[in-house]
Amino acid sequence: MSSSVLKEEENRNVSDVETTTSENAPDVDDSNPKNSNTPDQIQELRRILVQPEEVGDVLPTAVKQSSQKTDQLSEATLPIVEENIRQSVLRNPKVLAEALFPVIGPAIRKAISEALGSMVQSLNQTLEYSVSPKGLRWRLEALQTGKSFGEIVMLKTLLYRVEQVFLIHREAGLLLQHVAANPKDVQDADMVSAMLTAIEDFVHDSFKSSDDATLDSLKIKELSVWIESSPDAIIAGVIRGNPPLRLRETFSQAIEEIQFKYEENLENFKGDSSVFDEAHPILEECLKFQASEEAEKKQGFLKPSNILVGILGLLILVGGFFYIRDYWRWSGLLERFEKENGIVVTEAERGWFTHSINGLKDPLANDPNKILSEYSYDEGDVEQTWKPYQDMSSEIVLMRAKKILQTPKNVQLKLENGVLSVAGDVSNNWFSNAKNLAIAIAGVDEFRLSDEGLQSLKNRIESEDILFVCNTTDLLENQKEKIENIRENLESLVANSDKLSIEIHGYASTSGSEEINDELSKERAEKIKVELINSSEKIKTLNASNSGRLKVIAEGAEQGNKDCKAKLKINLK
Amino acid sequence: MIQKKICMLGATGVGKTSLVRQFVQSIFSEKYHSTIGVKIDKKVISVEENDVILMLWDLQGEDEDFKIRPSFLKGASGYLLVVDLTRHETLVTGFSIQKMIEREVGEVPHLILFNKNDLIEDFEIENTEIRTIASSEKTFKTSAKTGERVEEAFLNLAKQMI
Repeated sequence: MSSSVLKEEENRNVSDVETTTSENAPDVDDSNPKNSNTPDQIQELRRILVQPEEVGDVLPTAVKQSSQKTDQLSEATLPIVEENIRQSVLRNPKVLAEALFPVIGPAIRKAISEALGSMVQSLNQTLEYSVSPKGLRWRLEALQTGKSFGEIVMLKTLLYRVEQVFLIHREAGLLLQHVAANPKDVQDADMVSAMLTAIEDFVHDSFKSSDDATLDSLKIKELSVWIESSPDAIIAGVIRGNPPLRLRETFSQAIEEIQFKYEENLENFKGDSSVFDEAHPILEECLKFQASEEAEKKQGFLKPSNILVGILGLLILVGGFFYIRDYWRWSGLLERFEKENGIVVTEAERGWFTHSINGLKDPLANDPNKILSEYSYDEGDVEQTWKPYQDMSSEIVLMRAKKILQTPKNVQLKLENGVLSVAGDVSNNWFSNAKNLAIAIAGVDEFRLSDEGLQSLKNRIESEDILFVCNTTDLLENQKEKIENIRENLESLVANSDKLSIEIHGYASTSGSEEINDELSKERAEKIKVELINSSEKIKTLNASNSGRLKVIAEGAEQGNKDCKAKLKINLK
Repeated sequence: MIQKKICMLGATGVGKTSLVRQFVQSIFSEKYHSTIGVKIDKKVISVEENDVILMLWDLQGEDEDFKIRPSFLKGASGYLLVVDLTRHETLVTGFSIQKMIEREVGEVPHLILFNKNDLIEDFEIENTEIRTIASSEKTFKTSAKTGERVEEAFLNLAKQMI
């Protein structure tokens, strides 16, 4: 079955094969002209086609020549190859897996190591910048210069710049292309490339790493040379600063791209690098630089420096509050002392913890400690030194007077403009004693009865009815006492009042004639007058003055006052 | 401009470095010989009005202790094998080096330079020998001191390589 199918195909393909075989097959007789189709020749062709060995001999050469000329064969076989791979995997994945294994291993390893390296680098950086002395130093510098911590980190570490990129032919070490950020860095790039290649070979040979290992990087202080290779080419970047590992990807992508695009040129390189001028942009892509990478604020709000500043601020606030509060308290206290009678502050000092007050204090003044406590000061808070003195304010003088004069219970003292006036139940005795003492009291210029006092005396005197036996000028029993009282009060009055005038009114009852009554009342009044004059010097003197201040008035039997008595009326004005 | 890699090979002390010193641009010092084993120099030469850049890999001389690294020969378009006229053993070394190159790199354009042509009294290599060699190889008698035929040699090699 299969052979007949084959024969059919052979017949169809004869014309296609004809041209090829006649050109390429070494076994075919060259003398056969192409165009003749004798049965012998066709038989011959059939023979050739049927025998796979013949085709087998022809096929490789055919393929080789075809692929040298065009891409058509590879394009044509592409779907076949893809299908082959798919079928192979479906049937038995192991086959391809084993075949690809040598490739996968290194590829995975490389990917992992770069990923890890990247992670470690960023972890390292985070730790380093938060707790290391360097990190702290940078924080200090940030505070000093007014820049943020992020800025300092950026300036100090993460500034990097790819300064030059070399594209080097791997085998010969010849420079294919060179780009530089600074045009003046271009000289001697070719010698540098060759030396770099020599160094790579040297390292590779001397340190016996695995065959596929290549030099990765050279590093001096802030300058690094990173090298990425492809089978036929090398890319070397000169970097100043601290580049992130991510930059390697840029380089390896670039070299892979170049390897892919220029594979043929690389393999056939005979020294003419002009064809690689087109690769310039790919290399320029690698001239990366970055000023700020991880300038994000690490740790956000709770940075140690923030906390410190916060605490300081709080302390200052609290301290300030207390300071101001105490200031107001103290001022209030001093104002209070100023208003206080009997206390004079001569010196007041407000210290950090204790204060002091020096001054004068009247013994009768209020206790300063009570005042202090009003303003929430304890005794211990304020050092006090008080010297005694005599205050002259009315209140203090009054207190002093009260004390010195030993005022009895029902007596009120008042001090006004240096006049100490007395009111209330004043006994003559006390009054005369007091009068002598009072003048000696500092602040008391005058001592007298108050108007009230005078008034009450007057009332007392005027209220007394001196009773007589009717129809006579004889006093009833017990009237002597009354007169005594009157005399006493009168004396006080007279002593205190300059413009005093006294009227003694006599009265009579209605029995008897009007004439007799008038006479009787007059006599009665006279009697009292005499009594008074005789018993009191003061009254005598009063009478003796020519102002008629002691009068006798006969009332007779007045309506409303019909009694056998005498009364006094006093005029204080 | 075309670039070509050329290796300077030979035993120690034959004068490779002296030969080139007058004629090349150098940015690397001699110490690279002993540290890495190679020093790179550059020579620009004009071949038929075209400039060719010769990257000279001046390899450390070979002796009992030190054999030339084959990896340095990778990609070379040509080489100069230098022999000291005053020491015969340098010729032997030269040949073994040549064999090694044929093995590692293959057939490439090259010259054999018989150096120190100024030290006439001390010659150890006979002219007859030289002539024999010259029949199959391109040879030049050079002197680094005087500069005799050095430029010529480079030009010859460059022409061969283009």
